[in-house]
Amino acid sequence: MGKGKPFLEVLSSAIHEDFRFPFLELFAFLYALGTFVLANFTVGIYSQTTTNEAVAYTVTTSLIGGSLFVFIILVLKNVAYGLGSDLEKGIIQTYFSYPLRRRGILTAKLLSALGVSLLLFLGIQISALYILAPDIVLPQFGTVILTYAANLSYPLLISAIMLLMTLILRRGGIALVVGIVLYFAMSIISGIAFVVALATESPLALQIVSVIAPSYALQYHYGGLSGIFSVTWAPTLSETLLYIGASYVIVASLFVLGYIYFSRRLNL
Amino acid sequence: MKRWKTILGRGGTTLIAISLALFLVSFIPPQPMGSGDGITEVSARTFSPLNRAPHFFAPIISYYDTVLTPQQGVELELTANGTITVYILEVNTQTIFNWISEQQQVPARDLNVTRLEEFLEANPNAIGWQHEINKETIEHTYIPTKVTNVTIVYSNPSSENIGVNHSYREKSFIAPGNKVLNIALWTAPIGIILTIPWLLNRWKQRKQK
Repeated sequence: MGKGKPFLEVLSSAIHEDFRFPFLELFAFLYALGTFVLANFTVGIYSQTTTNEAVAYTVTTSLIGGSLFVFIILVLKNVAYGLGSDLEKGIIQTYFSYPLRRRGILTAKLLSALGVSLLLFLGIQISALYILAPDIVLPQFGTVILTYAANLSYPLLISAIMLLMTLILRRGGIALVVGIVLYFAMSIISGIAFVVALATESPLALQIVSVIAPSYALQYHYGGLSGIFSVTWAPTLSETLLYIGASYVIVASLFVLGYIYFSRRLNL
Repeated sequence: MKRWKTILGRGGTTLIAISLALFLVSFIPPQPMGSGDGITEVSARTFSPLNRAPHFFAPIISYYDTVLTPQQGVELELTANGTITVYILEVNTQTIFNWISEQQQVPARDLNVTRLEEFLEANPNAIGWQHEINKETIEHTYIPTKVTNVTIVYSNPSSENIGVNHSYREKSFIAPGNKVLNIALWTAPIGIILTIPWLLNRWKQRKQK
């Protein structure tokens, strides 16, 4: 027996646990409803004088807001609660008896917890964008993808931190609370960074925040905060790409740490 | 086989959930934004943008120029007493007049119908919709697929003056109702077909227990 079949066994078991009927359906419903109800194309009107990329960015951002919150809830449920309860109940120990490396088991769990959620989120979002405004999405597909990449970085960072905490503490409760706090803390931190940037007339605080949440760099790049605010900081596209790249390096490093801990240090 | 049934079944229930959300979205009524009624007189062999000014203010001209998004649309009802072509153009009227002035090297507004034809030949992407009205009443709802300027222009290539009665209502909505409803009507049956084998399987399992 190759390694493919045990991997699929673990993946199917993980999906079965993470998306018990009707969780998948409920979240798909919320994604679709949130995407359409919170979409606001009128913001694009104010971008008429700017570039097509800015219009695509503002339109995509307006669509992301509500569904990203649903995505975070789903990831919190799957990573902190799901993986945490698997560790507590001894389901992970059962997986260790499979002819599969530990990293394969974690990959299957993450594919279920994050991959399926991400697929559902992006699938519904991009389809909705295409239904609503094909002439904005198709010519500016690069901007649309960049906006998603920038906005998903921080939720993925929270996921990686929650994963590490769940593995180290071997229960999901505390990781779940930390995840919720981190999600809401970012809006407070960015607000403080903005005030500091205005007071010091230096974009350093905003740049630091953008390393972990590059959606702010993208927002400033497209002049999301008009008037005097945009004067504070206006990164170029290549700078913005650097922030996005740096944030994903941090996210990837944390996931690698999680893999190393799960493979070598997790004594079960 | 059982696993495939489960995968397809859950895919089907997900499609049903999405289509339910789309049904819900399509039933949210649009909000009125603005409206107007009036007559635009189009002289022989000329073109004219839709004039919003009331007919009793005949010398006053207020062309219909607006910016619409994919979440906004304009419902039109037009009646002409002759044969006329109506265009919905994704530019504002000033763009048309500026283009014509640049081509003709004259600052005055040239409303000759051939100038409009030249403009449309040079800017075919500007045409959002076009229709010929032949002594009849037509209704049309226009919803753009991008954030765009919108103007309505009548072209009268005939040798007689024509009057066009117009009634327009601008509306704002969450999503284009018909488009969303059509997608929901397609996805729901596909979802149901995919779900049936899985549901039968579950029912059989429960019966065995």
